[in-house]
Amino acid sequence: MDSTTPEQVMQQVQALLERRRTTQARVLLQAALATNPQHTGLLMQAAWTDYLDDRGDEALATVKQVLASQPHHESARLLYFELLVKAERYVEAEPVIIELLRDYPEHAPYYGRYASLMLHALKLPKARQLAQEGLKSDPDDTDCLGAITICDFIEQRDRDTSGALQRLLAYHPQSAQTLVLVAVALQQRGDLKEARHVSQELVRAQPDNTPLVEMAHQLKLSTHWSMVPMWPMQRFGWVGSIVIWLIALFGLRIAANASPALGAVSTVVFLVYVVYSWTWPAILKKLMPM
Amino acid sequence: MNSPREDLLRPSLSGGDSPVSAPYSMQTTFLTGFFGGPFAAIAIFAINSFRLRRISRDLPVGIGMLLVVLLGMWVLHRTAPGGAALAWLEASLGSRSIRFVHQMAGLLIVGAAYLLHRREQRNSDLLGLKRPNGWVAGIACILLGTALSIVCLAALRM
Repeated sequence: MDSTTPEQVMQQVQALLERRRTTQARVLLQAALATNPQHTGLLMQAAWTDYLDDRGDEALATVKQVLASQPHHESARLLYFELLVKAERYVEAEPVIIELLRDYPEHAPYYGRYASLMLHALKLPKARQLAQEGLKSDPDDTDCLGAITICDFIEQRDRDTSGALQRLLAYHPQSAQTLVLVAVALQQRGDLKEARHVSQELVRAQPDNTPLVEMAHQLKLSTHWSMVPMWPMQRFGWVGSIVIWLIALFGLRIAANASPALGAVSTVVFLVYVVYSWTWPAILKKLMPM
Repeated sequence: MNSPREDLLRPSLSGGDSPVSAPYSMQTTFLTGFFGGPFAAIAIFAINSFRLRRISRDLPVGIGMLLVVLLGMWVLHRTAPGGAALAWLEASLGSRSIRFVHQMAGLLIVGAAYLLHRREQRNSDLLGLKRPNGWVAGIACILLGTALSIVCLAALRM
């Protein structure tokens, strides 16, 4: 007969969840919950496992079960907030995190999570203020520093005037969040190859993290040799597209005036480039699936 | 007097204000302005303002854009300098000159719209927020913009 206590199971499951081995965690939890179906700690770990596996409905049901008997359970309230944010139910999520902050006013990560919610709701100034408030309690909190870094990216503070990314690199260099933000910073500076290297390291560490895998795949496609002609658009966005259009418009006219044959060739080349820019990225994505 | 912390803990997403929605993507905005011209670009800008709940802030700019477009059209088609400019463009670009002016005006409006909404656009891109499907709104704005351009041109040439 298995004499493993719920607390021992929880320790094992915690170690598995930190490595995102949710399948093994689920097996342990199912066995433990069969004998202890109302154990709050096991129920919460089951809910977190479902959350990590994108099983939002199951996680929500479990969290509500815990909150029904223990409405002030901190971890349950936090997971409830995370589930609401993931489901884009931002209006319902906001009072949950506000109540957590009222109960735990010195807990910096909650300011970071609230800041993240404000970023999802496109409320940039409040996101920055919340993160800065959280840093008063803990100057090195990753959630708050991450939120400020994202605010810096949005406002295109390329020189990292807030120092948030630097602090993340100094104090949390191995954190997945730090590396993701470094990859984004490299992308913004046009250094796609370095961003690809960083993203590949992240995928090696977390191969089951779908958003990371998608980011790494997108960078792999962007740095493929056949995408070199797309460089103006990759580097300069829509401004690059407009400049190319203007060059083509006047350039084709000049070429046609110089020689009908040159005009015809130039027109064909331009049309081929337009068709390539519209179709090749999608074709490449199909040729090189994740 | 409320402390700054208390102000931060006041809900921002409930009450009278309905939640902000992610705007139409820059791709939708760009293509709408490029193919639909300045009126289409103003229309998609107005839709994005509504989605971002910043109508009161953007309304003066939108009205200003409209007036500039109408004034520009009047200058090009009813003044001597405008006529000379059109003649030069026709000599440079041939029959595509009017279309070029139409597209350039649309793209300038798109650029102005981006400057106003750039934080929300970048925020939406970085957070991977779900964007609305641009086909219906884009095509509707292009049709509206094209119709308005035709009507205005016809009126100016009378």
